[in-house]
Amino acid sequence: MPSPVKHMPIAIPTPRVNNNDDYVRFSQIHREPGSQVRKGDPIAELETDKATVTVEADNDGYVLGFVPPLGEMVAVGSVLAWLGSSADEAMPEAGPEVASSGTASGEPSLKAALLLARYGLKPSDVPATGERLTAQDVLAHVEHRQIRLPSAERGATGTAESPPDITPGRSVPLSVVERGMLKTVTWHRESAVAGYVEIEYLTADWDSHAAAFQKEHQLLMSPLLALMAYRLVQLARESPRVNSTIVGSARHEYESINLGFTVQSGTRLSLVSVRDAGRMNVRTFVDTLGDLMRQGMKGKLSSENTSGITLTFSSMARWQVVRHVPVLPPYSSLIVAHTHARDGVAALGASYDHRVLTGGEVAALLRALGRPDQGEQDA
Amino acid sequence: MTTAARIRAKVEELARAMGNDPRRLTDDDILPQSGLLDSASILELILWVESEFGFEIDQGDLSLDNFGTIRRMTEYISARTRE
Repeated sequence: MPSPVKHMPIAIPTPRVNNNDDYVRFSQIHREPGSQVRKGDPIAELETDKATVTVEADNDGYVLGFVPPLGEMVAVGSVLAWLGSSADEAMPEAGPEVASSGTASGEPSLKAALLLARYGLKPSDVPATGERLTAQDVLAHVEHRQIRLPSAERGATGTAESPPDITPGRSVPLSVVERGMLKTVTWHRESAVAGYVEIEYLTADWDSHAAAFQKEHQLLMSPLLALMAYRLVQLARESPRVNSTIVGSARHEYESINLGFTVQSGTRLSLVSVRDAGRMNVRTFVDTLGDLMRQGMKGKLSSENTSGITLTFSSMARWQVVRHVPVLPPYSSLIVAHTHARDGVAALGASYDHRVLTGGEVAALLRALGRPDQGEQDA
Repeated sequence: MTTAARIRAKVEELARAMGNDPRRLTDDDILPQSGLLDSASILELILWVESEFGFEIDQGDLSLDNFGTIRRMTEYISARTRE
């Protein structure tokens, strides 16, 4: 028998899933109200566009109930559920506000800053409910004041409006992955000023470098793509502008390089995030990426490993694709497109945010990426 | 079906999916050097081994010594399933 803690009922707060998401979707109930649980038992599932997390009971007890309805968007920090000492204990009617785990710096959160910029507001225009101005504060303010988006942005999300005279059919809810893709494509189209450049390079140097690395480290799989992705990390380390985005009217230079890498399993396309890749040596990076790819193919990625991407490497060489123009992941300035080689020559392209980078800068970066820098591989 | 035969059948399935003809592959050919499977296919093979034989493989075990050939893979799986 579990031994419930004293001072029940206790609230289970809605955890933060991604740094930039102040709301998460309450997507699944694992333990129905009235169920007995032990500390660590999964009770519910939350999801964002990028990740799904399981919420666990943090004490032994009984699930008294869930505050938000299933399927709703829930504010991070608000009460998700109540645990009690017996199944028939009454659930408190009003949930207390639970402090979020964000740092109280007085600055708007990144998401709040982006919203302020979209609506043309200053931080001082919006009253904050906590020490830090959140996206929730901004959204509440624009709703209260009935502030509308600039006309160019209205209808850009692809979700709010029905096209006129549409042929009758049924509405199918988007999956988590599809919603993530919608968000990515919308950000690429509406926020970034996206450009694309491409160079050709001889693949022999990279092929021989990867073969030597594979032999030296007795690796089962070719490290070619991982080594090229690591080279991109090195180049971003040398040029912090590559690892930045626009927030409001300023360029936001990220403190860490979180390298995104596309992983395809069947029809599912995932983007894994190698966190803090700029501080890894090459072998650690290759192993970390390999492990993430396995987890991605199993569909077992944590939110930590799918969020916060600042720079991305994408390859379609496996499908013999000789050119592709990738979509920029939100809040990043560059995604590299690696392609299939023909007769020892391949294209290396990149979609980039023209607000951050020029075509010339990106072309120079691609030229550097087109050859291994063996002297720095172990830096 | 023996473990080696099951592995061979999976390798051949993955090779054919890539448009390659696996009929000449021997149990001692080095898979990554055979040109039959790319890295993503080898990764699929590893995931299949985990699922088919019911154990997790550490990242550190993913070496040519353990998985480089059908024979080595068979030996590795036999050792793991004896544990």
